[in-house]
Amino acid sequence: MNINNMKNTLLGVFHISTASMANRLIYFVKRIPLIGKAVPDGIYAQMELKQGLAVVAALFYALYRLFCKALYVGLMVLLPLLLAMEDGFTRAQQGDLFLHIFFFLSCLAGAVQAPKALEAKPNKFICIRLVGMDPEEYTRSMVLFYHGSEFLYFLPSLLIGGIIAGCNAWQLIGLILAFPCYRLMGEALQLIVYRRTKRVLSTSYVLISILLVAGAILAYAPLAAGSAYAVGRWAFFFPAVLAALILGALSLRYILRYPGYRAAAQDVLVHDKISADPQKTAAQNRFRDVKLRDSDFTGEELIAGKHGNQKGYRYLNTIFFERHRRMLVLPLYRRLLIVAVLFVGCGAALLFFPEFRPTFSQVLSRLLPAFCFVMYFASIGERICRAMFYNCDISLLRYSYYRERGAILRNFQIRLARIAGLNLILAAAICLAVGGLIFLSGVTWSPKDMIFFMLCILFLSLFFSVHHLFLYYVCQPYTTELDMKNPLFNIINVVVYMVCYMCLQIHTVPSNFAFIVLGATLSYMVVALALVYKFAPKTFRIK
Amino acid sequence: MEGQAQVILEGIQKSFGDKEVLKGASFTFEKGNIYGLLGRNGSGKTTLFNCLSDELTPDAGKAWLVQNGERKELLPSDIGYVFATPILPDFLTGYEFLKFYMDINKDKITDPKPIDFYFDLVKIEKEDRHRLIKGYSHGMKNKIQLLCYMITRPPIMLLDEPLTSFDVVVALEMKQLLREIKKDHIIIFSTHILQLATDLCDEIVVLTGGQLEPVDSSMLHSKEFEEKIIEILKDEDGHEHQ
Repeated sequence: MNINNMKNTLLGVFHISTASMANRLIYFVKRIPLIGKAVPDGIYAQMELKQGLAVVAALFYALYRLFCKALYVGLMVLLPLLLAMEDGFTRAQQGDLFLHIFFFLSCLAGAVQAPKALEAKPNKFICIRLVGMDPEEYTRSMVLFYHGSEFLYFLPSLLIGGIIAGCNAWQLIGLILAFPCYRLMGEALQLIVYRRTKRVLSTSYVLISILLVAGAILAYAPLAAGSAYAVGRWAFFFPAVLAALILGALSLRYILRYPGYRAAAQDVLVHDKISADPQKTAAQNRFRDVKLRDSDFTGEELIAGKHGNQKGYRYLNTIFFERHRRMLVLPLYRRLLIVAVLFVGCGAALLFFPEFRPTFSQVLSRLLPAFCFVMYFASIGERICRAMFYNCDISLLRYSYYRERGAILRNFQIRLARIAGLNLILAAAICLAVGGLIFLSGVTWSPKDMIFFMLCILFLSLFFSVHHLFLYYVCQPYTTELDMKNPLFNIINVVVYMVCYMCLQIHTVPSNFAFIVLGATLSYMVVALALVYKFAPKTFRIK
Repeated sequence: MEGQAQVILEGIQKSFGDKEVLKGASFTFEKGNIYGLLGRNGSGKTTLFNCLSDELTPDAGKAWLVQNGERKELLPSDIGYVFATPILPDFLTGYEFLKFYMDINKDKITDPKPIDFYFDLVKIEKEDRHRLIKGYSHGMKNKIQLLCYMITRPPIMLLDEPLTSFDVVVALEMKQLLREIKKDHIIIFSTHILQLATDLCDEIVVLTGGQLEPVDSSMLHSKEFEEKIIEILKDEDGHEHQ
């Protein structure tokens, strides 16, 4: 392989990736309020400034990679060792264990993850397909560069980590010599498999998961057992290092002489699978689970026109909810089934083990706060709002009649009633189950406690119905590009989640807590509905 | 829509960042005509349409609708906007969407007919009416969009490059449809394809340098017409390099 060609290829790749990094940086700065306005559009054309920016960005990237490796060695290898200190390992044993853990995590499990030569990344797509670089030159250069840079980024953390752990000089030398060889062997192995079977091993999630889990178990097994039996250290012992060097050199030769990079690039870089815009891919994924499938409706359903007597927005929503049964009714059935199973299980326990009855009733009465959290997860809302946007509103909001104040509010009412209806079915089932269990436990609750308990559950269910739809209508965070662009949406969501989570920590009798819940949910709902009426006609737009 | 009608644009301006796209576009459009809005790629045709239909807020300028001598601000509900890429709710069938559309806009429909009558009008086959819009072709979706406005008959219709991606048969059908309904509407039809404009339009308006300029319609079918248009459009480069 010609060194000059390789240098040119790497420089080309470097230019492309740093230029796009610099552009992204400028784009980001321009979007910051106040400061962004001061940055003129013309800045994109200032090549010198951008080259400076690119160098700065590249430096930061290198520091970031170094930091990541240090973090990895620190958290995954050193920290478990430190935690196991009290097992009384000698220093030499600790050094052995360091090598053992690192070998199984990084050389064995890590080596067979994503091979550089067969990767399908946007940058590779740009360089080979769009810019027209030679796939063979590109792949060889990038594989060498990648493994070389990985080694350099790992080097400081490995040396420092090894010294801290207590490796001796010979072990450190063995580690540094053998580690890149194991990585090259992994790369070559994948190429061999690919050549024989046309399959990229690292794309098989099952295989990778098994390998990762097995690697982790083997790595931490001695620590978990309190034993200093560190098989992995032999991987960095003189004869193994010699073998690794020979096999590593053979692997390198195989990688450099591999004849099929052109075909492999064609195979791997399929346009549909790669988007040159990772943000777009992420955005698409956000709505993957709400896409309509052909199995969601039958041909007869489409012709039947059984809702012909309904009109306008009611008609629209009836059809919408009918075709989204899979996302609404099935989850509801599943939840009802869980409630039923829990009810039967607890009921049977109460019937057959009477000694539990008083404890059970007491536990249940203190469990009310936890229901905030339970209802948060049990309520249907967030997903259906995404479905509403993706399958319905993203298109209809382009029409002026759909954006009229009356239309938006009417649509909101119908949707709220539908979602609340579904959630209340579940809430009613929970109330019935709780009531039934209290009855079976034979302990009498005061009617006041009982009523408060059930009101709370019903109100929580209403609360979450309002919450998701309110956020969707007032914040409308999605754009036509399926991006999310509203910090307020996320903030309110996180706050509500935190509050529900914190409720898990409260232990009190129903009536006290019920007052708080009733008050809080009621006022939130009133405020939310008022905000919807005031703002939704303006905010419920496509961004 | 009975009687005379006009749409008057007065100094519409719109910029994106440092780039001024519309620099005070003004023009008067009359009912009964199909206007061809010609412009080069990126000249601001879609931006102008978006400003009129409330998808974008113009930085300055006004649009008026004059009906029977009465002048009022042009509202989004006066406009039927057929998008370049048709956007319709995928989860409905064409039939269901049209029923929904007619329910919602029933006070705008003067002479309602059965839904199948409308489908016949744009030649959408019986079996296609009850399929999900998700599976419709581009052309069928565009027909549905146009059909909506043939039902509610808004005074002004904006068509954003609608015929560009049609096959020859559908394009011909659409042209005939537009000719049939033109007497009741002000139809503005944006395109960068000169032949389409000369073929279908009664008047040509050129969007160049952020301004609207009329082209003498008596020249429409003459030989010099093409050269003249090219000359105007090329001028835009001159504007930008100033």
